[in-house]
Amino acid sequence: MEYNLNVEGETVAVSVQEEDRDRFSARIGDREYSVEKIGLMDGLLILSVNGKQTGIGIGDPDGGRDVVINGCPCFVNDDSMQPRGRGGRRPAGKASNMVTPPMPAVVVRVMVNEGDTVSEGQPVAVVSAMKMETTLYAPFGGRVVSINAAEGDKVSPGDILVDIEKVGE
Amino acid sequence: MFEKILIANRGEIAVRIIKTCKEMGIGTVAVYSDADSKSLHRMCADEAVHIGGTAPSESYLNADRIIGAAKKTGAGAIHPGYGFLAENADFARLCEDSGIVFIGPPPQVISDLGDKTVARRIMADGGVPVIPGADNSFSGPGELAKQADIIGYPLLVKASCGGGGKGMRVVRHKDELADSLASASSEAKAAFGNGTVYLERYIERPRHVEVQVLADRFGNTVHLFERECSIQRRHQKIVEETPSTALTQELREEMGKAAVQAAKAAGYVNAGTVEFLLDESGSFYFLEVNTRLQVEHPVTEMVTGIDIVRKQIEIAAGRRLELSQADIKPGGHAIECRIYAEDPANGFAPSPGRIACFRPPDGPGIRHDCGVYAGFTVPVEYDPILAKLVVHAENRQIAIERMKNALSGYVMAGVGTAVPFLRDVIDSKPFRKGETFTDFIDTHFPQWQPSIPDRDVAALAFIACEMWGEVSGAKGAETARPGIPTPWETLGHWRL
Repeated sequence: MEYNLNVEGETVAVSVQEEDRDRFSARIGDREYSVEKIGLMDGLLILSVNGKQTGIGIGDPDGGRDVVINGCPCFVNDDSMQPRGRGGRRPAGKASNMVTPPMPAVVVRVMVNEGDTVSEGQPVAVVSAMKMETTLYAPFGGRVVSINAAEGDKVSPGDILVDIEKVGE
Repeated sequence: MFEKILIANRGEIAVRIIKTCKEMGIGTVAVYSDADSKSLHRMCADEAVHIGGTAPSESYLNADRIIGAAKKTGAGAIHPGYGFLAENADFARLCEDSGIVFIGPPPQVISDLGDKTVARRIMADGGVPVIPGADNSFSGPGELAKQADIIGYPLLVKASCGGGGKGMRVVRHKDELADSLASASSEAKAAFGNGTVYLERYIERPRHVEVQVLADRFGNTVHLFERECSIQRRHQKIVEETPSTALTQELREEMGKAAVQAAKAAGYVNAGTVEFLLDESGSFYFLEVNTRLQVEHPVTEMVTGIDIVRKQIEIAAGRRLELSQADIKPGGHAIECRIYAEDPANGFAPSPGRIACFRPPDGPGIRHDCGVYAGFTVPVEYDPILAKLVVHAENRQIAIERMKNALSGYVMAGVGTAVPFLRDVIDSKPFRKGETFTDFIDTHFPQWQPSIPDRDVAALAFIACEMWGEVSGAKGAETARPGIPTPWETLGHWRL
């Protein structure tokens, strides 16, 4: 079986041959691996890879898995199953062109009203997560079309708190 | 002794306090908010009282509801932990007035030491070295400028009621003073409702060294030696150790004596921490007294063998300290790493979420104080501390190897933590050499990014999961709550 995996934003092509119930062999590039399932312990998967035993923590975020090896987590997903194949790490912060929190958070205040004209970089809302406040800025100049969140609302990345219509387009 | 103690806190510190109470045969009452109905501290206690909404003002900061819970359950004392109401003199007074013992210093001591200028005056009068600076914070800009000339540059403008770096400015030249005074004062006013500022000499490349003290009601005061807490991010400690590599035996004794003197000058009772700044020449200056149990108290417990929470409870119950300074003989070396839900590659931004898989390390000399479990959703409303990993070994070098190995074995999936960052810090040359100053992270790890683990092994592990089925069982739990989007449903691939 062939897998096209995305490991922290890089594609890893794996060719897999199932040996028996607890064993498979795999080839990645010119590297050969023999993998044996030793067991499961409190959610920790114990594998033997080419005779070397490793305990691996597994989390299941949507669309992939967090794999924790030696204390370091990394995100793996299956490119072939997820045609929109997404990278592991979201590019940090400012590139976003919507007013959305970078992490699950609570709205502290919204500083604009519907119909307001805002300029690029103007603070429009403040959210708080775990006692740390983050200010969200207008990604471009324009007019505020709608306010979709109120003080105290729980919000998540992707939720657009303030809808801004670009002016001059 | 108390029959029952209410713990007015949450998370790892509440769990830690409950453990000592149980050892002492004391009943425990947890309080919890809406967001914490499934939290570990709530489940560990003998009894639990729901005190209100998720917002801290409706629960953990709500003095009336906490007192109400203590009365309802018949708790004779309240342990405030750290944060929330721990250094709130009004709360301590309210406990007293309600006939409940507050496990901490007397209210007047809390309020004296909570005001930086009052604390500074008490210490200066008591012969404790303070940073050269102006004592009169109520003077106008003209008077402050005169004081600045006497103190000399660089100097620091600080808010009298401040903390966490707010209302603080470093002034390197005389011509910057007026602007710095104005901006520090307005920032302090916005943050603390009080724009009073004062001046003191700025200490370059200091270390943050603090001394744990214990004092009973009968005037017996001892110290439990120092903790080196210089490694900080956003003015918050993340790695602490004892003993400090910066102290000679002579300096250690001198600082210990100064801490005892500070406690006595303030009329201190119970456990407290005297914080000092230590400069490169070995001079040290009083910074502040934390009138509560510290987050990093376990390193002291590991080297002295003394349970500080037990001492707090005994002192609050009116017992005499049966320890003389000569009885306290620390042994070996201890290091603590704080495990926060945060992303060290992204400015230590908080990363709340659901813990999918959790397996902390164990073994000889490893202690893990923890407030979470696999399956728990870390709320966004509270401090992001999840746990503290502490190691103890016969010397610093072995303690470093023990900590490095323990961090490598620390498995937490679902919520981002600084574990990979902490491992790089512990394993770094400057840390190994003991060159820990408060600018450590800015100097040595300004643009840290995690090293990616072996991609092949990660890919093989993923395939193993696909082949051998669900391993963590995390998804089942989520589908049991349709309609409430979990972070995983709404977050998509976003790496916490």
